[in-house]
Amino acid sequence: VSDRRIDFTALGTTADPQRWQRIIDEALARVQPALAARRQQRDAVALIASWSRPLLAAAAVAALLLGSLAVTQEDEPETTPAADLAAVSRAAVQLGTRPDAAVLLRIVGTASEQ
Amino acid sequence: VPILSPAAADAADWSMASIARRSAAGLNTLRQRIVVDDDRSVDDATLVARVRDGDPVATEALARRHMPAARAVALAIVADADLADDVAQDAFVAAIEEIDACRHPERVGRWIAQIARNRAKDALKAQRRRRAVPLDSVSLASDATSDRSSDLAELRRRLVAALDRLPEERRTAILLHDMEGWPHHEIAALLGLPDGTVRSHVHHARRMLRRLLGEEERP
Repeated sequence: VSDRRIDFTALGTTADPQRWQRIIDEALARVQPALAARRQQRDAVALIASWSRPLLAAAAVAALLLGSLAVTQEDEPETTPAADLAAVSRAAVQLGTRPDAAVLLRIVGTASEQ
Repeated sequence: VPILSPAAADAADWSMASIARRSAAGLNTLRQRIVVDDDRSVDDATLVARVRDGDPVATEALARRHMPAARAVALAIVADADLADDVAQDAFVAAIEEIDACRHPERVGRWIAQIARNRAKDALKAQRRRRAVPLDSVSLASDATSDRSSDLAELRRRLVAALDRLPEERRTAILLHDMEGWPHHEIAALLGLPDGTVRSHVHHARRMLRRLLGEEERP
């Protein structure tokens, strides 16, 4: 006999469905601010996530450009007036001649312009 | 009463693409609500994940699914249907506000019931402090004033009075098992008792309630 359930219908939530619905509605109204805050937080995270991809791509492109620029600058030979003078004097020694005065003047002129 | 004002109707986008887009959005919302309202189709862990994202539909589904058990647990402790309603509501609100603290989302029902249990004990203490009258008088007075139907009120009064004669653990076990359909092992986990003890509680509670309610014991 004790295996039969006791009928608690009169005490359950189905005894007065309208009252129970009101209690649920009140509970849902009370949690609305917390849910709204969570949605706002989720939307902010999603927005940052949506920005992060193009930002990362842009950062990668910028890094590539800067890298290639640095490599290009390293490859370019030095063209300072001192280096030019040294090159002219080395050539004159090798050829056993005097350096051309016009060439020397042009190099010195470039140096004075800088 | 017109559904749309003439100005709004003129301004609305009536292209087929727009109508199709809006219909699809409406259907998706409807589908989501139907899926979530069906007790068996969405598991508790999924609902908790959606509540953590602020989803009101999932929150409502969680309320419908687990507030009745929270109320049963509260009723077993406070022995007052109205107070149990308030405790169940408070427990659910606290659970949603602290949903990140739920470490086992697949067992969120038990977690909410545990919150309800603690809050019901606090409510009972507060009630006893406020009114130095026996619990029986409090619960019966409350029932008598809130129920419209006198038959229902009388039945509730008898049930509450009979339940009040049982120890708290037996009340919790019998209400969760016979009113909310919880299996023995779930009740055992909530109360921190062995399964066998819960079975025994349910068995003895049924026998005693039948005697108190004047039901015939049939072999």
